[in-house]
Amino acid sequence: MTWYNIALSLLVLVLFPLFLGKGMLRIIRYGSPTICDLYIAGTVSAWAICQLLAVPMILLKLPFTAFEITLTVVYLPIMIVGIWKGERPFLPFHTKLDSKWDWLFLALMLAVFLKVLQLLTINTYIDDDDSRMVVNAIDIIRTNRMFRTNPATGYFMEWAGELTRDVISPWAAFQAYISQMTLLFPTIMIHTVQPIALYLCLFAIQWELSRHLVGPEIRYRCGFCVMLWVVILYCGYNGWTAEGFLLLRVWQGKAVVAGIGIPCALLQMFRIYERGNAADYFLLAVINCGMCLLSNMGILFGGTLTLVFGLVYAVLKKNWRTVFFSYLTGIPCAAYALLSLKI
Amino acid sequence: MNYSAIFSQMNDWLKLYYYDSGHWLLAALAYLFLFVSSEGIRKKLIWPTVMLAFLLVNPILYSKLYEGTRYWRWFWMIASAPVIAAAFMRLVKTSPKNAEKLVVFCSILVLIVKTGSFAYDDGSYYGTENLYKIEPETALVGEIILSVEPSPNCICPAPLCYRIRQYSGDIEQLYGRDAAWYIVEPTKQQRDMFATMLSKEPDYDWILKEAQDASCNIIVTRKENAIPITDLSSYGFELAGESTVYYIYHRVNN
Repeated sequence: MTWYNIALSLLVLVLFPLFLGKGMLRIIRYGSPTICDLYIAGTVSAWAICQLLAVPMILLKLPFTAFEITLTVVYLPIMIVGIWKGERPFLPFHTKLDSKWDWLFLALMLAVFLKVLQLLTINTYIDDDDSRMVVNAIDIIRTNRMFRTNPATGYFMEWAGELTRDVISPWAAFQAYISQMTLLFPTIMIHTVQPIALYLCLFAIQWELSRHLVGPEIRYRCGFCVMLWVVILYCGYNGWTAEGFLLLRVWQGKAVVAGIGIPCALLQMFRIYERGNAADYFLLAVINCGMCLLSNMGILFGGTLTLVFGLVYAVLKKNWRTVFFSYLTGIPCAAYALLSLKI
Repeated sequence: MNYSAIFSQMNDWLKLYYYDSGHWLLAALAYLFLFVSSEGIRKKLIWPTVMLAFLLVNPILYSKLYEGTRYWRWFWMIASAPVIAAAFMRLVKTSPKNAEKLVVFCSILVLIVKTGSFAYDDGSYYGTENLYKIEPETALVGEIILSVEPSPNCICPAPLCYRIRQYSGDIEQLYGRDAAWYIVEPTKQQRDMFATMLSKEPDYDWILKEAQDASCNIIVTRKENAIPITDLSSYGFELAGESTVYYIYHRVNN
C-alpha cells in the first residue's frame, strides 16, 4: 500500500461520505446536522444510490465500467452541493464542553474507539464465506462483468445458486467500485481498509444513539459509548450474534446489516418518533434502500423494523399518518423482496 | 400443527444465539430497568421490541415463515449491547455526586471485564500477517502459482481452494467451495475430485488424467500426499515450488 492508496482511501472512505451526506441532507432540508449525521447519511446514501443503479444494470448485463461511470456521475452533483452549500457542521455535538468531566470522558471515549480500531486492524478472522463475497468483487473487476462468474472457480457462469442473491443485493459491486476508486486490490480494500470506515460509521451511529438512550449530557453519552464497547468485547457474544458478526466479519454484507444497518434504522426510528418530519421519513427510506444493497437479510430486516416500529409508534402517538409514511419508506424493501422471488 | 416439535426446533435455534452466555439475562434485566425508569425509551424502543419478540417467538409464524431460514438471525433486530450499556449508564446517573457516579461507572466496567471473556481471545482470530488478511500460506502458494503460470487452472485441496482466489482472481480452479455444496450445485467431476484430493491416499493416476482432460495446469497437494514422480512425468507435470504445507506442481508438457 503506497501513500496514494492511503490518500485515496481517506478521500473515498472519509471525505466522500461526509460531503455526499452534507449534500443529501442539504437537498432534503434536514436541519442542523452534526458531523456524525453527515457521515451516517453519506454512507447510507452511497449504498442506496448504488442499489438503485446496480440492480437494473446487473439485470441488463451491462459491463461494470458502465456501472462505475454512472455511479460516479450520480454521486458527483450531490457531493458538489455538499461542498459548496450549507453550514459547516464540523462538530460532533451542538453543546459546548464546559466541564473537566466532559473532557475526561470524551478523551476516554476516543481512546476506546482507537483501541477498538487497533484490535480490528491487528486481528484477522478467516471466513470461508469470503470465497464468494470477496471473490465476487475480484471477479467483477477482472472480467468487467457483474455476477456472471462463478467465484469458486473463476469460470463464466450465468446466475444460479447463491449468486442470485447477489444480483438483488450487490454489495460486492459496491466494494468493487470502492476498490477501483482507491486503486486497492479488492481483498486488501475489503479486509483491511473498508472495515475501518465501517467502524467510523458505527461510532457515529453509537454516538447519535447515545443521546436517545442516556440523554444529552456529553459525559453520559461518552460513558455510554465506552460502556457499549466493553459490553460488546467482554459479555460473551458468540459468532452467531449481531455483536459477534460485527467483530468477526464486518466487511460482509450480512454483518453490516447486523452491526450497522439495524442500529442505523433504530436511530432513524427514534428521530421519527421525536420529530417525524418529511426529511426524517426520506432518510429512513434511504436507509431501507441502502440495507437492500447489503444482503437479502437487509431487505427482510429493514422492512420488518419499519413495519413493526411504524405500527407501534402510530398506536402510541395515536397518529395514523406515522404508519402511512413509515410504510412508504419500506417500498424499496418490498420491491426488492418481490424482485428476488422472480429471479 | 405439532407444537411440541416446533417449540423444540425454536429452542434449538435459540440455544445457538442466547444460551451459552449470560448476556441474554443481562439484556432482559436491562430492558426491564429501562422500561421502569424511562418513559421515552419505553415508547421508542421497548414496546416495539416487545412486538418484535412476540412476532419472533411465535410458533405459528415460525412454522409459516421462519422454518427453513436461519431463525437465529432474525433476533439481530432485537438490540442487546446498546440496551445493556444504556441501563448501566442510567444506573450511574442515579448517583447524586460526581465522585459516586465515577466510582459506580468504573466498578461496572471492572466487573464486566473481570467476569467476562475478551472476544479476541476466543481462538477465532489470528495475528494479521499481510494486508490481504489471508493466511500467509495461501498467499505464498498463490505467489508461486502465478510465478510459474500466468493463466493457472488449478486443482487444490480444501481449505486452500476456498481461499486461493482471494489472493488473485487470475487463479482459476476446477472447483472451490462449490464442491462443498456452497454457491452453486457441484458437478459429479467436482465432487469426486474434491473428495479424492482430501482422501488419505489420493488416486493420482485418476487425478492427473482428469486434470489433463480439464486443461488444469497446476495441482497443489499437501506434502504428506506428494504425487509419485513416475505419475508426474507420465502426465507432463513437474514440481514447481513448495510452501510450508504444500507442493505445487506445474504441467510443462501437454
